[in-house]
Amino acid sequence: MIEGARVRLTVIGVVVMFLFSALFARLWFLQVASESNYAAAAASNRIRTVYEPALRGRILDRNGKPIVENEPVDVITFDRNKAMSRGVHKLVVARLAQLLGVTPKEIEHRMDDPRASSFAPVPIATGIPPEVRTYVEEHEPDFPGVQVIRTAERAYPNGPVAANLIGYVSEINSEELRAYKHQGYRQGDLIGKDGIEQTFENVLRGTPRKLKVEVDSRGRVVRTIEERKPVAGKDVKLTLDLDVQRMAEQSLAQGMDGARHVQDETDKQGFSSYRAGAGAVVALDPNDGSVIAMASNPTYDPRQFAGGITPEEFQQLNRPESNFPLVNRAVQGLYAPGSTFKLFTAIAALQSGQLDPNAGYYDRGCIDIGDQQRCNAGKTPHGTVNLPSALTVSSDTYFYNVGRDMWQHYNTYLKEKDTNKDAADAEIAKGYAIQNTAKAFGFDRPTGVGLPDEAGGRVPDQLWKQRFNENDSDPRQKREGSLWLPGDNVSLAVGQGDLLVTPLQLASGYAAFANGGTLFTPRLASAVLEPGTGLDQPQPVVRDLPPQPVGPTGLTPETRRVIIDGLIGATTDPSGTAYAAFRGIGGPTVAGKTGTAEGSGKQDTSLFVGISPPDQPQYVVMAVVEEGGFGASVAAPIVSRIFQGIDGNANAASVQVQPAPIQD
Amino acid sequence: MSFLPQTRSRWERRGSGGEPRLGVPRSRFDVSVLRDLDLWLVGATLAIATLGLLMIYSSTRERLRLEGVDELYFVKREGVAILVGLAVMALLVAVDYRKLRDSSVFAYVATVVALLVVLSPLGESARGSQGWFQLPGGFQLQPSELAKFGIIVALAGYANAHRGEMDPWRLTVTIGLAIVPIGLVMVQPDFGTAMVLGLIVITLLAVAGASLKHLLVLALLAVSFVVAVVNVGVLQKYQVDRLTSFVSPGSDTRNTTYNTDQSKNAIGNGGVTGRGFGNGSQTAGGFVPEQHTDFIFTAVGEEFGFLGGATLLALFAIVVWRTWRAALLSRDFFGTLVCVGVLALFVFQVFENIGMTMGIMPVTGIPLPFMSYGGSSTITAFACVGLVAGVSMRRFR
Repeated sequence: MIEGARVRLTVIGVVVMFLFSALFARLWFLQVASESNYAAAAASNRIRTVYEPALRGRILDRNGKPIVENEPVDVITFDRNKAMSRGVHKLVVARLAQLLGVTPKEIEHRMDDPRASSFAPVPIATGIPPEVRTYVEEHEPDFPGVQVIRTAERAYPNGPVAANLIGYVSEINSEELRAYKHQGYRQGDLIGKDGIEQTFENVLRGTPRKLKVEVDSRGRVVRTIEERKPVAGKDVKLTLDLDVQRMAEQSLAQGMDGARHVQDETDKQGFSSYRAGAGAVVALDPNDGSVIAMASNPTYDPRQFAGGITPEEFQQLNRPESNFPLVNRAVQGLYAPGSTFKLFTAIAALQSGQLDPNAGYYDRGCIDIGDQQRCNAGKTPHGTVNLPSALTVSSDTYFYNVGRDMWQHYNTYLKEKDTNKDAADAEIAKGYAIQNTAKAFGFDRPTGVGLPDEAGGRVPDQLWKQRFNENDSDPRQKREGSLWLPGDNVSLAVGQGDLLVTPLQLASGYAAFANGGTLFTPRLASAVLEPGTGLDQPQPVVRDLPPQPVGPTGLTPETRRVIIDGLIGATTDPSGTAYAAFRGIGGPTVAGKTGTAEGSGKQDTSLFVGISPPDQPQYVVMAVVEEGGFGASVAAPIVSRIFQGIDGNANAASVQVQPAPIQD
Repeated sequence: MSFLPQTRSRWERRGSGGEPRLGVPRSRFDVSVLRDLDLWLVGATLAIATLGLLMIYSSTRERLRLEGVDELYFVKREGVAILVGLAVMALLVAVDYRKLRDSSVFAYVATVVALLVVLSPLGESARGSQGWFQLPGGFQLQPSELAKFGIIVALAGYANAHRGEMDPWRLTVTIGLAIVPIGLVMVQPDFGTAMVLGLIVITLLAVAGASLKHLLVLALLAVSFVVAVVNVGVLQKYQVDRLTSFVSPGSDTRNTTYNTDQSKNAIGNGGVTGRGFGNGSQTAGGFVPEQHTDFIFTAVGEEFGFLGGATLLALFAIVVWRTWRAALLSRDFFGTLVCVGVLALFVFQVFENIGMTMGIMPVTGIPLPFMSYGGSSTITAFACVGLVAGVSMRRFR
């Protein structure tokens, strides 16, 4: 052989010896050195642990009516691990296809579902009729590997009501699995997503059944080794009133539909009507912050999720064209509150001693702020107004004036702060009175109601403005952007500018005003109960969920009295902005405030908040319709109809959208 | 070490003095040549094949019985393959291997053509890999197995013709030629066999005289190619998962290392003496997937324990040793190269397959020679042994 080949052969020989030694050593390790480990592992092959979810807790309204419960449902499953020849398999597929009325290809497709665990039987069809179940059970030899099992599915006996608030139940995804693995969730488990189902997941879920069995090589159970019985989930009693909720959802939908038939008069270009793409309604009990109703539109039908939603259906719900029905606008929607915010401007001005409520102000329609002119809608003059009448007719210039006066204090603070600190502090308190009051009434932070993804809103001030503009590349813009200008405070005073609130925040702030000044955390549920059978047996309380006051807002009875007069006028006085919507509806007086918020590139947003009765209020109801037009036009009639429902008039006439808006 | 051959005996046995007459093949078969037939080699091979039949029976009978099919179904088919293999082996022993020396072009072309045709609509595919032909009678032919034999013959002949001239240019040409069948195998896709072929090529080139420097470069290129392929996505996800889960078992999902875990359990369950023939609970319970093919060693490990497994390893060691010895003692360089090729083939396949069942090598679809159920693989293995036996048998003349 050639030069050096002999050497190389020897090297190869050494390498080969080494490789074989490695194999020997590993074999020794596996079989002699650690035999017991593997014997145990081999034994574990024959032991199977099976988990069965416990019955999920129901969700009830404040009167005990079930909103979400469970219904038993039959599911056909197929055991993929069962050994069978291809011929037999094909036969089973064909029989199943015929039985269920689908193609064999569809059956194969369902059998191949990668989401199902490879050791558990895979579901082929859910919610089969009893005849199908009986047929399979009676013809068992014809269906090897096929089993009919009974599970429970979420059912909505009162229809798809409060879907955005309640949420839905669906299969756990990998992110959630990672986060909650230590709580015993496994792939394929159902978990509450969104809304109450998610917030109260721990309570509703219960404890799954755990069964440890020994199987033979064919997978048949030989004996039961261990069983942990399931513990059914607890029921949750909400503060929601199903009847009011239905009224709210219906009225909201009617109002939005009506808005779409109203022409946008302010549209310079053409004759388009209002888009009214989305909206929300929130009804609270001002005495303890309980949520009586919470509606969001567009909404969805949670029954779609009950048996397992298809990817196509789910995508449909997330397309921009559907306008995102899964979003709960009541807590996730951010809006400029417009004139409804004047309530808090008024409180701020009165409580900080900057305003005499009886002093007259001449509203000529417009006011000069610096070198700009700010006007009422349509530049309508209202003549001499004081605070209550300014609220009744919603005079913008009156409040612009208040805002400007406050800005003067702020400006004084700027001048004094380096020389006279005490005086400066007094000035800044007055200059930022609106912001401070707003924060005291719960704005600028999430309410803490407990629903997922709640937005915090925003109350702008100089610091916020500076931070917002600090990344501006133009240095002049950046410098100007960091100044708190008169126009900023003035816009804030009428609920515009960079102010953003959620519908729940607005309702909650009004509720604090209504009850005399205590801010509550909005409350969704009153108690957790032992699971009930739905047969009107009393359910013992597991845990009370009492109201949670946040604290006093500093509201004085005098302030309240003055302001409530203005709000009563809005609905009862012919000059009031919401007069038309509440005329002749009967029942206790509703005091309220309209709002029409402008947004850049958007049509006006319609808002209204109502308090009833004005003394000892029991309800605060607000409505907002994005791009719905004037507050008096759409939101006020919506709230009006809801109050009619609350008074017992469940068949009140459809929402009458008011076409000729009173300037607001 | 006593098993290294003594050069003295070779010269002693020769009888008449002078240089041996190299390079002249015998034109007709002289039975006396059989005197030098390597009985160790043939004997060990037969022993392994017999054990293989037993293990195939043990690992498939339960399942076959459940399906209502003949329990000996796989045993019979593998038996046929063994018989065919023996015939091929006998043929290759009878025919002077030197006749193959000049047929490297033919072997190469035949290999490439077969690999091309299997990728055409004439070839069958299963489990995402298009790698065989369906023959009448229900038999299958896997050209990638035969390609192992073909590459060995082709490359040995080529390297022999250009021995001593392994400069970078010739090396590159050789690599380039070798890439073609390897690439065709990868297209099927059959990553495992491609690796086997690659290793055969590298080993042959190493012995054929490529300089150490060049070999190192080649090895580096091969490694980086493997890494690139794994990361770039030429491989299917499950193939990547198998390799990466081998490297970091903690990151795995249950399904990927399922095979290896079951395999290790089964082997470990065997203990020192095994659970007895037909008694392996994992084997009989059907818990180890692919047990009659890739994972057949687990059946040995579980049923015959360490004693059985070690004996089987020893048998393979004998086959490898005798092949290595034949390479050393071959009277011409072509014979050496052929034996080295077969050596690389056997060593890699045995180490990878058994290592995989024990969890120290990644999972690839490489069969265990003589034992894994598979006609083409068994026949090729026997053919290779036939070549080697022929070389060693004719080392004196």
